[in-house]
Amino acid sequence: MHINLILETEQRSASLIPLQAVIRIVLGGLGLLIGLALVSFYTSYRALERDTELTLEEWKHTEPKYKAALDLRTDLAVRNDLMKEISGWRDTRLSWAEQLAALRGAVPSLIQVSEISVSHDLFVMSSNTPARVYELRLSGRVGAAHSETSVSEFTDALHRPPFTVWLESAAIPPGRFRQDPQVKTDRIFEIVCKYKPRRFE
Amino acid sequence: MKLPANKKERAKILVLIGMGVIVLIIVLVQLVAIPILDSRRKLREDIEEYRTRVEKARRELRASKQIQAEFDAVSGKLKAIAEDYLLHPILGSYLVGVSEALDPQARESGFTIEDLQERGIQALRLRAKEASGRAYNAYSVQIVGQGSYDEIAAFLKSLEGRNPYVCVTELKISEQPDTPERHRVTLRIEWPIEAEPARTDAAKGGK
Repeated sequence: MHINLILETEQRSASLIPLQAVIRIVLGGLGLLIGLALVSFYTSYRALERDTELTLEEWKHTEPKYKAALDLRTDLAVRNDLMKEISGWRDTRLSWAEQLAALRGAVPSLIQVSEISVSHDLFVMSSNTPARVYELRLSGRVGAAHSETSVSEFTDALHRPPFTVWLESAAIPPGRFRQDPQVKTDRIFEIVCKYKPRRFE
Repeated sequence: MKLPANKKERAKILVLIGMGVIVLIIVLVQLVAIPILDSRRKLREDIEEYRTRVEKARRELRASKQIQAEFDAVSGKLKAIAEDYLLHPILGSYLVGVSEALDPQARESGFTIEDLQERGIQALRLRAKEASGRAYNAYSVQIVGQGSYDEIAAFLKSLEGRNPYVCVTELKISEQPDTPERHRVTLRIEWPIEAEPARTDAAKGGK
């Protein structure tokens, strides 16, 4: 028969550090850590708030200057567009004084040019770039003798510098080299010169 | 407060206390921790955004000196072009200005201007997408006159040399059987003119 003379509440642990003390120490340590974490969090939060205020203040101070700088950049872009537009206009021009001077040197002595006609058109190229295109029609007459040689010489001259810089093609359209209806001993001809497109770039 | 000695009763109370603690923790997390953490995240995002903006602004401000120099240079060039080469109306008429410009040049070169007529103002057909922002138009005139080949060439040289923006778009030189040394000439010339007052001011370089 076993008789327990000590109540459960009166029992004491034989261990050197009682369990209750361990629990209290752990709970106390945990509470301290939580407290420290809360203080640290609060401090860093306040620091973050101050940093935000300072950065906002700096931005408010910088923003007007920044907007002025952006406006300046926009204005510069507008002016650059204007410059590009007017430069494009100038660069697409063809100097007709220069063309007339070059033509004078290209016409064989037996040929008499009766008409020089220049027309012009503007169109948008495949790259969506507008361009000027000129066409030059040269009408003339030449004596029947050596007429083919002279006209051929003239056409060949239009395929040599300086014309190669400007011209895309120079040819006599079919039926445009024929007998002069008024002076039967002469031949009349027409040469059509197409200029290279001059792009507005 | 002492826990009951009965194990079952004690366990019930401990379970209730545990549930209470869990509920308390959930309430604290929902009502305190999450809003505070959200607020901190928002602050961090704000600070990051403002720092990015300030940095961007500083870069722009560092570049603005160079931009100002470019702006002044381009404005100066546009102003010079507008003053020296663009056609400006005199008493509401562009033709008067054209006549004033052409007559002395024709006299100097020996070219005879017999007729000068306005052919109107056309839009420069530049890129379609830029058409609405066009700053210049083309004013064109037709000239009918007479001259020798040399005189015609000298007149064109003078015209094109004095203004690099004047553009001869049509030219017809025909022989005259009665006066073989002088030819009949028809010319179409285009000048750029300012198109829109708002952008015209810009072209003059004012800001």
